[in-house]
Amino acid sequence: MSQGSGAALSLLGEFFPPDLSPGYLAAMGEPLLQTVAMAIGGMMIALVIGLPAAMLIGSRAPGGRPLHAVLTGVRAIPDLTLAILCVVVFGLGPSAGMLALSIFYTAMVGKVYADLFLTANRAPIEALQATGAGRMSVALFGFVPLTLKDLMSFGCYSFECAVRAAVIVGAVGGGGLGTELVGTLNGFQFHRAATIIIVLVLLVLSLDALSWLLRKKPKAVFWVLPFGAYALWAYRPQFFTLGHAVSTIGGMFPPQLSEQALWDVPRLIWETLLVAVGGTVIAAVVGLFAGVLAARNIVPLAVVGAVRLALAVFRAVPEVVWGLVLVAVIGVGPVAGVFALAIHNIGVLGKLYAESFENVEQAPVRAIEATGAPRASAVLFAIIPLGLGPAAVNTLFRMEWNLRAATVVGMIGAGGIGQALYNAQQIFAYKQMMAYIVITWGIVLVSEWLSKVTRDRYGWSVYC
Amino acid sequence: MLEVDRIRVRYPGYSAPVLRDFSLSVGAGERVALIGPSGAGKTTLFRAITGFVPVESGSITVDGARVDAGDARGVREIRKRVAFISQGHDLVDRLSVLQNVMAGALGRWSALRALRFLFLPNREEVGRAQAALDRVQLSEKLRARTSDLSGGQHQRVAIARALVHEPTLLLADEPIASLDPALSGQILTLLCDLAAESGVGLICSLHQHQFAASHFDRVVEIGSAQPALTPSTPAAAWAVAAAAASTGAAPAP
Repeated sequence: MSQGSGAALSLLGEFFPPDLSPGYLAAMGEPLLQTVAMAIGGMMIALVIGLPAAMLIGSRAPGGRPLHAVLTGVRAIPDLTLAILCVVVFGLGPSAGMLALSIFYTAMVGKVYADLFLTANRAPIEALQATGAGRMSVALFGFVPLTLKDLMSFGCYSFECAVRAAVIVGAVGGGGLGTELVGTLNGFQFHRAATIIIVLVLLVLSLDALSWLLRKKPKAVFWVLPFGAYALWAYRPQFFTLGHAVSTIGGMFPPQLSEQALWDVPRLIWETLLVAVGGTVIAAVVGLFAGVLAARNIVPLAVVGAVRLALAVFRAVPEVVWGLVLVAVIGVGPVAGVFALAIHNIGVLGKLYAESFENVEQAPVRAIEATGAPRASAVLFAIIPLGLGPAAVNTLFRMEWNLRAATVVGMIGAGGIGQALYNAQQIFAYKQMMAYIVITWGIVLVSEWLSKVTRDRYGWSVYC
Repeated sequence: MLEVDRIRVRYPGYSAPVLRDFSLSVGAGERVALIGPSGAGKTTLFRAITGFVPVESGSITVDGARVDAGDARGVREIRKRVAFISQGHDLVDRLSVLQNVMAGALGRWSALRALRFLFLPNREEVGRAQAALDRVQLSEKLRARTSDLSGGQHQRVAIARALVHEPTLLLADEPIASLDPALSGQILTLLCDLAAESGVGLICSLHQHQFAASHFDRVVEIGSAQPALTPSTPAAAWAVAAAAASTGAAPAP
């Protein structure tokens, strides 16, 4: 930590009041639109490449299996890592952000759609094949209509995730609100940073409303197409030359670490692990109290409403954005990482815990009340103990997710192996940077494997 | 001690009442078997006595206090006197047997004492739970986790919880529904002995006539035909009490 905690607190005070002057609010318009447009453009590229790839895999064409493996592998590269690479190759700005998103979501959409096709009902497919139709026509007339509902719902879900991710990729120079936030933090304009966080919270909350709308009317998603077309045109890489890209990427290979740096890797991984565990534990303890206060069957509705609103705000701001703020306030290092994960996860876990308490079986609760116990005793003897089971399971899943998140927040300076990557990028040591990218990729693959072992039945909600 | 006077109970959204002009009176130490087919309203009667469902007309009094489901404080006072062993036993799986048994005392305890007990049970409380478990022959399970017990053991823990409750009226909803005949006899004997020893009134709902005859002071039949057939019949046509009504008989319109 570069500052004492007193200094950190006084810095925190400088976030208030947020700059709500009309001039600055108007200036928010452009980065806000940029963030949304990047997400839409990225998703459009992802669908155009990912869907045919999935059809190829689904129809069990030659080359399908290796393609499936590639998509699975790319999906495990964190979006922030892709953004760092794209910024290095394409320069700062929304082009890099949009391309990073398009790569990440191509892999995600391609893999999930391929899995949908592979598990689709075979009988109608075989009937189509019997007509002598080619592979792609079978896919187009068979797989797509058969799974249309799932395709649409996952598409909408990925789109929501992409908007959030568009903020995150901005944190390393990928344009939009994220980049704007970094600019204000670096310029010590904390009251403006606060404004951006408010805009971000509103964006994510309206996204929740949008997702509710899309669930009722999935076709509404097509309204965003003109937006995407604009983004694709406006954010095309303008200063891109193949020669430069090849030499830049070539400069990252072979990945290299000095002997000393190599010896330091286990410590860095350990630090990342501590950030993940520390963040989860703090979030679990605070989230438990918050969860009790946010459960409709425990406390009065007025309290529930207020607590839920606070949790929604904590949750709406991604770990990486909390990380940027905390790195600015308490300095570069793992402490910022722990608290970044903790704050975001208080929002996530608090809500999940409240739902666990609300969904407990009613019969034992009534049995306790049938003794004439005061309501508070029924809460203590039935609602809380019964809710703790599902709450513990959720905490474990969140711990796995946080291992990935800890790696990622490191990349904006919040400690661990991610921070080594960040430092290497800052000094243009690209061979080192690539080595750390490979290592973080390995960590994410391991954490995904862990998640998969325990969480197969929970489907794709793992990724966002 | 329990007076049920011509009560009528209807669930929201249903036109036909589940109970119609049902009356019943149980004295201290009296053991009553409630016999009737599924859907006859046995569980509903118990839920009405414990204030979980409101009565439309008629009245229920326990030890002279009238049950009014809308009056939360009054209902709590009633519940302190009435122990209810529901058909599913409804224990809290994640608590220990000790904690589930002592949950019977929650009506007398403040929430603060309940909280203290969860983490620091004192010797007297442990002793009371142990005595109740001894009575139901589960002495060695005091410290077990409730989810580790078998179905029959759950039932006995529920009875032990009712013992700690120290009620004046004990309601048991189909306590032998899932037990073999030998075990059924044991459980009914246990419930009836407990009632006789402590002068507690006991109402047990059952399906089996032979057990009702062998263990209880009195057998009450509860309605059997579908009340939905004649929703607007005058009250008198549907009075079901003691040995008067015979099961399966349709009401005269």
